[in-house]
Order: sequence, then structure tokens, then C-alpha cells
Amino acid sequence: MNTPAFQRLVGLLLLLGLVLPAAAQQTGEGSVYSRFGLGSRILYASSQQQAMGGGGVALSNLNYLNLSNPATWSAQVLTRASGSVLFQRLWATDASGNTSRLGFGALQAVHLSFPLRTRRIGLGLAFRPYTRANYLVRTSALLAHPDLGDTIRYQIDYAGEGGLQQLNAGVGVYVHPQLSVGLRADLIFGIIEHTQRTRFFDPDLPGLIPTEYAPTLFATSTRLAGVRATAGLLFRLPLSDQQTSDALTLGVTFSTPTTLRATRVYTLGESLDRDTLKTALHGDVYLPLSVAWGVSYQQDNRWTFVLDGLYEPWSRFRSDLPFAGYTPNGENLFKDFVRLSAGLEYLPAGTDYSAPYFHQVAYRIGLYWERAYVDPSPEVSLRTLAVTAGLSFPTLFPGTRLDVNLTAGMRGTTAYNLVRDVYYRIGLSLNVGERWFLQRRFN
Amino acid sequence: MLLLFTAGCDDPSAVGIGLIGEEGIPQTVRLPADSVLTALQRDRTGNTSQVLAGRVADPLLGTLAATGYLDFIRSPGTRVDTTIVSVRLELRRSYLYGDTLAAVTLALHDMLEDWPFSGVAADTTLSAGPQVRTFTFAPTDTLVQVELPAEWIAANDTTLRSNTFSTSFHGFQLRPVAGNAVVGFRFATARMVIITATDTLTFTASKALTTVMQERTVPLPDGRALLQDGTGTIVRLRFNFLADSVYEAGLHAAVLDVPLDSVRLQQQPAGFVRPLPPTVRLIGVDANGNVPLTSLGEPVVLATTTPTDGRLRFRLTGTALQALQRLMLGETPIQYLQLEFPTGDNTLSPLLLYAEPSRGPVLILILTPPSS
Repeated sequence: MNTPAFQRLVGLLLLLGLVLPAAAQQTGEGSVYSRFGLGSRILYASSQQQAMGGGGVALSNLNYLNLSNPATWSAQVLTRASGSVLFQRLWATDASGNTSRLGFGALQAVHLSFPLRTRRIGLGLAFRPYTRANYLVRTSALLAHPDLGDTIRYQIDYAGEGGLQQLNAGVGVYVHPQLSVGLRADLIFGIIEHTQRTRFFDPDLPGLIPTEYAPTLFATSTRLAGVRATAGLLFRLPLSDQQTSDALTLGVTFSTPTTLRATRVYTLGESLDRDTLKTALHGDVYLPLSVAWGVSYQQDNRWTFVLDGLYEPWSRFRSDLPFAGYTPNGENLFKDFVRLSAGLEYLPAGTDYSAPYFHQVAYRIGLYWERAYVDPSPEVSLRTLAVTAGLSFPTLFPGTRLDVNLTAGMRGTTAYNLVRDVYYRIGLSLNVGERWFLQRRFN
Repeated sequence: MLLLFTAGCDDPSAVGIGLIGEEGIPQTVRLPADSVLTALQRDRTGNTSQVLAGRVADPLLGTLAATGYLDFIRSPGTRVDTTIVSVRLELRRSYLYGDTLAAVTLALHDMLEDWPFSGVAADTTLSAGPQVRTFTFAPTDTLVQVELPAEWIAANDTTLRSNTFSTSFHGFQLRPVAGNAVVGFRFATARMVIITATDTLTFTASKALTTVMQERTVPLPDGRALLQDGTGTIVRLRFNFLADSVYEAGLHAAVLDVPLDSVRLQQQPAGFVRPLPPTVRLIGVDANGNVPLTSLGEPVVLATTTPTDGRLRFRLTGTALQALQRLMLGETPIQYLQLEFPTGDNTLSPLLLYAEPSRGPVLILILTPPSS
């Protein structure tokens, strides 16, 4: 490892170290739909793909590690590390026009990858979210107690925190000029916690907390862990002999179904003063397979188009433990998860590294449509439609880019007792690339 | 800037509550006492706020005799230099239980030996010396003055003048002789006044004790439990904190409501007074009746209250609420909630509690049921 690369990695870690504590304070303030199931499904492949609708199974780029398809990991030249954070503002509106305004920040992903053999074999290691539960719904009312001669105002915060993370480790192998394959192991783990905090206030002086009433905090924490495998294929179809950079690429990935071991604990009380209620529940949670496909078209090293689809049959979800929307041998609101996306990137300079700075900035747009894996109301499926955009700024260090992404979307409807989420997100990502593991040459 | 972008103007609301279902709304649960048990413990009366003396035959509760003990101390800087003309006791009445129309006669005895008071129980027997005199007064008198006979003054002249008065004089016993009332004299204002040829000196009370004897009992009405100060009678309440309605629930507020049979307590002969105790306290005890003590050796008092409107209502807050929460989680040695009287209040005042499950003590709990 050479010194500048090491310094940049330290800088990246410091940046994340500064951002993460602040971000952690904001967890629990996202969509109420993340209360259902295992939380909202989160898909993150790279900051480039995030700005292009989130897809890109067939997208191969030397500046980014494409986490969606391990077959693309074969084409690595630089050792690369990245870290991404996400900030979100969300407005939730119900049928009566009432609105919640919420914001949160969170670590999106980190990764480290390097070529074992340049453009032939590459390894990757990543940490990124699989699902996220983060919501906060607050209700308040007056409660009269004739027995006590009291009238008190109570406030209940229903909140969700945590989610499932995935730790990916895999290899991509160049098999043929037109074919790469990849294999990845995904350790899926995490804690999903739903809490219910009840507090009391004087009905006439809302800032006054009556000493006769004690607050309570109930928490249901579910710890899950399991492993699955993901295989990927990448087919390159050169379009002409003269323009070798132009190519149509097809990609497909398949993730195996898996079983997560789950332990659920009910507690009452705050942090270190928690009391465990009941006995811990243990069980299996069956996650369905996942199939993704994509097409990318690259022209003249300047234009990149991607079109993707993802399918996960969550209707086959099974669990020994109940989750919101799913009761073993009972209610099952789970549906198949479908995601379609498309995106475009324009890099004016192409591979001309001497071009003016703003010609080396990559401009990206995209959109995606999702059908969630849980329908909180059986009458209507929960859909998300969002547009994405992003800028990728080159830095003084070749191979290192700073990406800023923006997503604006809408989820759900105010009909059927549901809520409509309107959100926008800003993603910030630092991608560090450096040539490591150089062989010494002796003259 | 990005943090401000996300952190500013958060305004969570009830939007989306329909997806959650408003589960866990605080609710009121009435938990009746499974059992109401009476028990005896040793009542401590040493150096309490008042000393009792007299005998009362209560038609509802039986006969109680109270014997008081008072010792005095000479104030620093005072000295009896000249001839003692007279000595009298001044006792200010602060409590009355019994017949207000009949005079009360008490006998005043010398105490010949030093007697203990700290931690001494009300059923202790102390031997007294010869009778000094008897005195009679109306139980409604607010000030009782007892002149000591000249023979007693002559016999104790040396002691009264002595620099070792505090150790050589051991006070008096106030023994009931006649009447149908127990009176309480305020300890802080009890004085022995010595009038000399040139001066008037005041000796203040240094220690006090009351012993109580139950001379006759009367069967209680069915379904009632007696809680009476001075006699050591206490009441223990047991609740089923493992009931589905409360077990592992989150406790927000609690009131222990103890209905009293005030109708019977108010039925009394003409001129007879049966005062209610000023304070009742609630403590927790374990299965063997042991009272968990604080580091200072005091019982952990969960709450105190005053009988009002025919009931005792204990509002549990703070640590008391936490103790109750622990009971609901099955995590505490406390098995019973015990009703008793503070040691500092020395009375013979009774309370008659309803002990039937339908009308008996009930815990009113504001709680959130555990999530399913």
C-alpha cells in the first residue's frame, strides 16, 4: 500500500466517523411502511447506480465496484474503497391532509475491493443494508381517570430502529472476452427493534411532566442471521470492431433463498435498566430467492444506459415468528417484490483525462418503480415511483471521485387508510481508487 | 449542512397510526386484594410526639389501657439555689380517645431506675416506684397541672438541686386509675416547673414512653379488619400481580384505595370520641413479614396518607411506583403491602377496613399492557 492511498482511506474513515454518530441520532424517522415485515427493502449497488435508478446488473465500470453483480468484479484495475452516507427528508400525508415531517441520516454502505489479476480476477468485500426499519409515529390524547380524579395527557411514540445488514464477500472471474462470472456469499444479519414509548404531560401545561406518572418503554427486538449465495453472469456483446468501447452488456444474478435464525426478546425499560419480559422466542425466517437482470449499453465511453429488473417472491416468505403483515398460519400480506429501473450517464470527457474539469464530471439521471413486498392494505399494492440524479466529481487523485446523488420519490396512497410518503434523499459517496500490490521490478 | 437538512423541523405526528392500530393505549385496571390479613407487630412508642395515659372501654373495639412514662432534664445554666416552694407538672393535652364527659384519674408514680425508651415496644412492662399522688382532670382540658406534694419535694430536694439531676432522677409513671378515656400529652411541651423563693425554673421532658395493654377484646363485625395504632395491629394486603391483566405490564400510575367502614366507626355513645389516626403508611414486606430496611434501618415507605372521605387513598409515585413495577415483573422480595402507622404518631386510633373481596382494598393501576 502506498502512503497517499493510505491517507485517503484514513480520511474516508474519519469522514464516516464524523458522520455516523450524527446519523445514528436520526434513526427511527422514516416511512411508517418500514414497520411491516423485516423493514423496507434497501437496494444499494454503488453510488453510480444509485444516481441511475438503482439498477445496473449489467453495468461494469472501473471507477466503481458494482455490488449488484459479482461477475462485474472481474474487471478491476485499482484497489478501491468507498463509503456512502444517506440523508433523507420525508413528508407523510394521510387522507385528512395531516402531515408528518421527518428526517434521518444513515450509513449507506462501505466496500473494499481489489484485483487479484488485473481485468481478470477481482475480489470484493462490502457492508450494506438489506432492510431498514425506521419510522416514528406519535399519537397523543387526553385520558381521564375518574378513579384517580385525574386528567392527563399521554403521548405514545411508536418507533422502529435497525434492520438487516448484509456483509458480502465474493469473487468475479473473467472467463471469456464475452463472459464473466461471479460468486458471492452474503451474510445477512441484524437487529430489528420496534419500540413503544409512553410519556405523560400536564394537560394544561404541556411542558410539565407530572411526577405521579411514570413513562414506559416497551421494545421488541428481533435478532436475525443467515447466509445465502449469489451468482452472477455478465455477457458482453461488442457492437462494432472499430469502436471497441461500445458494447451491449447483459447481466443476470441469482441469490439463493435462505433461512435466517431469529431470536426475539421483549423488554420493558430504558437502555441498561431493561427488564426482559416473557421468554425469548426462537425460530426460523425463510427469505425468498432473488433474481435480477439488466441490460447496459455503453457508447463512446461517454454515454451509458441501463435498464434493470428485480424479482423476489416474498409471497413465499415463511416465518416461525410473527411480523407486522405476517402471522404464522394466519394473516399474510406479503407479495412478490418487483423493481424496475432505468438510468443514463453522460461523461462529456469520456476517457480524455486532460479535458476541462467539468467535462470530467459525470452527469446521471434515472428512475425506478417498486412494488413493495408487503401490502399493508389488501385492497391496494404499495408502490414507489422515484427519479434519481447525480453528479460525480473527479478529484486531484486519479481514480478517486466524490459523488453527490439526489433521489425524489413518492410511495403509497392516502386511500385505504394508508399514507403517502413523499421523500427526497441526498447521498454522499467517496470512492477511493489506488494501485496497490505493485510488483517490484529490477533492471 | 446535510445534517441540518435532515435534523431541522422534525414534526412527527399521528400520520400512519392507522397502520399501527393504536395498540398500547394506557388503560385502567382495578386489582382487588386477594387477601386482607391482620397481624401483630411490636409498636414502638419511645419519644414519640405524645405520651398516652388512661383507660378506654370502646364498645366497638374493646378496652385498652395506656401507661405513660416521662422523664425530665434540667436546662443548662439553671440551678436551684434557694428554698423550693413548689413543684408541678404541666402537661398539654394533644389527644383524646374515649368519653369526654367523665373525669379521668391518673396515678403519678416515681420511677426509681433508669428506663429504656429507644426502640422499646408498647407491650413492655416497666416497674414503677411508690405512688406520688393521683390527680383528676376533665379529659377535654387542654392543660393539666399536677402539683407535687410537699413530702415528695422534701424527699427529692437534694436530687432536684443536684448537678447530676439528669442521671439521678428517673421521671414518673402516669398510670390509669379511673375514667373512660385515654389522653395524650405533647412530649415537646411537657414540663416540670420548680418554683423557689426567688425563681421559677423549668425542666423539660427528656424521654417518654407509652405502654399499652389490651384488657378486653370485642369480636369484630364480619368482613372487617382492624388497624389500630398503639396495639401493633397491622394489615397486610396481598395482590395477584401475576394476573394476566397486570403481569409484565408497563406501570404508569397507581393508587391503593382502601375503603373504611366509617359508619361503624362513627357509631359511638354520646360524648365519646374515637379520633381517626392522622397518618397511615404503606410499606412492602416479604413473604415472612420481614420489612426490607433502608441503609438507615428504616422501612422503605411506599406512601403515606390520611383517612379522608371514608377511605385511605395511597398515591404511589417515584420509587414506590418502581417497586410496584418490580412486583408486576415478579422481581422483588416484597410479597405484601402492609398498612401500619408511623412510629412518630403515638395514638390508639383505630380504622375499620372492609376486608371482603367485593368491597375491600383495590389497587387502581394505570398501565400499558405488554405487547403481544
